[in-house]
Amino acid sequence: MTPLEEPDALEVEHFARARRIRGRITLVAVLVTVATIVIAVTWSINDPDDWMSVAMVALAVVIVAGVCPFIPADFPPDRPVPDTPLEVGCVILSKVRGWDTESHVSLVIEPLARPGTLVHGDVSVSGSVDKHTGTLVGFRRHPTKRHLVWIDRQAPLTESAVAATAADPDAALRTLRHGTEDTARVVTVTVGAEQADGRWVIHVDLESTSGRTGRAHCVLTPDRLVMVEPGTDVTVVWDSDCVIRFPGA
Amino acid sequence: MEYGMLVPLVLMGFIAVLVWYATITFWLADTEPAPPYNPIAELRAITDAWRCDLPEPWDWYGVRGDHRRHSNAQMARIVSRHGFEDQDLGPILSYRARLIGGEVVAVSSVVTRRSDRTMPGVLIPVGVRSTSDRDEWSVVEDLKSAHVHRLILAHRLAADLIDESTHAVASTGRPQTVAVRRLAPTGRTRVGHIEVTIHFDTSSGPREMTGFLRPHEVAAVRFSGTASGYLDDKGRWALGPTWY
Repeated sequence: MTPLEEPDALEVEHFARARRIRGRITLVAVLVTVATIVIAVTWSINDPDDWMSVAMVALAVVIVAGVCPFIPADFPPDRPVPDTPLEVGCVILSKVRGWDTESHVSLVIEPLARPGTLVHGDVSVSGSVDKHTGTLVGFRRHPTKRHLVWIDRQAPLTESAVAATAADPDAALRTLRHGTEDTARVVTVTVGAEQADGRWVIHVDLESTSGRTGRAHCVLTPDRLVMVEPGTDVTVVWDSDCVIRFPGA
Repeated sequence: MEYGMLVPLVLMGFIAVLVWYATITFWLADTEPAPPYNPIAELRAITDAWRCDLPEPWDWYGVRGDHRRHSNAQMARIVSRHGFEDQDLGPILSYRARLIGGEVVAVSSVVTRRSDRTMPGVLIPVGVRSTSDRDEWSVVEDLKSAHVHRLILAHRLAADLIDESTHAVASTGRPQTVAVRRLAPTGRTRVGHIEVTIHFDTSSGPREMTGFLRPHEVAAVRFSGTASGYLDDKGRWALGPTWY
């Protein structure tokens, strides 16, 4: 379970600063309003013929001063790019926060190394907003936040992703280094034993376009079985063994 | 004295009072930072939505289409969304959606308040209007919820995601929520759905139900520990969302 977490020092500072700025602007607006009313009243008493024009100008100033304190303070603070270790996770849900030429999307990610937990991070995407859903992404945790992460879209994921999804990580990494890459079609999927962390060993029978067949052994959560639906094409690396490179890796 | 200026003066006085009233309310209300984003609540909202009785389609999908002929309405599975934000109307999306035969059609732009519910994998009621040179697809807006429920079950039956007996249970049964004891994949997958077996306990002993769910629904079941299905009068269970 992922409980809500308290704001960290950066957020506390960010909101305190936003409130401080807004407080000052509101104070100035109130002072300007009071001063305007006082000036307008004295002017009207001294020069009763002009009171309507004076009131008009005064009201305009009061309206403008009243609009100024509207500063939304609930936007998140800018955070520095963290230098925490790169992790790989699978996007299980993307929620669109704003549509535009660049849409802002919140990704809900399940780290491959720690299934059963969730982290989340925001990205801006152009084109289809759904292109990250169901793929693997790299992320780095913000050091003072437990669940908020920075999405690293440039990082090479192949090795860590393959190591995290293969049943035998050492053999898979060897295959990845010495093997040849190819596209293969999933023929059948067999579910093996359940692991202690809620993932399952999945045996995937593959057949490449050149006719080569093989069997890959992965460890996946049940919802990720959709990545190896029979009939879909996946990227594989063949050696004596074979491993699957999942989308994003 | 010139009294022609009295009307704009009163109007401006009214606006000034309104603006300052709004400013003070805003100031008093907005002293807390925005609540942190909670992905668990996001996922739980998916399974929670299954539990409810049939909602109004218009309210549920939050979309507005201009198609009003109900006779040829059918469900289509959303493949992708493209959209932009309109200042006044909110998100304006167009979809590419797959019909039951496999044909992918473009569903013209719709305004939605719930762009998070009409996401890829979701079934949405569409209708066609044939003009001389092409077919125009759009969302059918004012369907009754029971009608959409029938269309969803018919679509799932046609896509081979449920069998005849599950279709019968889901058509007549009542929505139920159960606490999941164990979730196991069977290894079968079909049109982006994963078949899972859910083991749970009832007052009359341990039971299980098997059905095809979308990936994020399986994740929602895993993380929330609850699943929804139907229980009919004969005591038969069927796994599946009441609605989506």
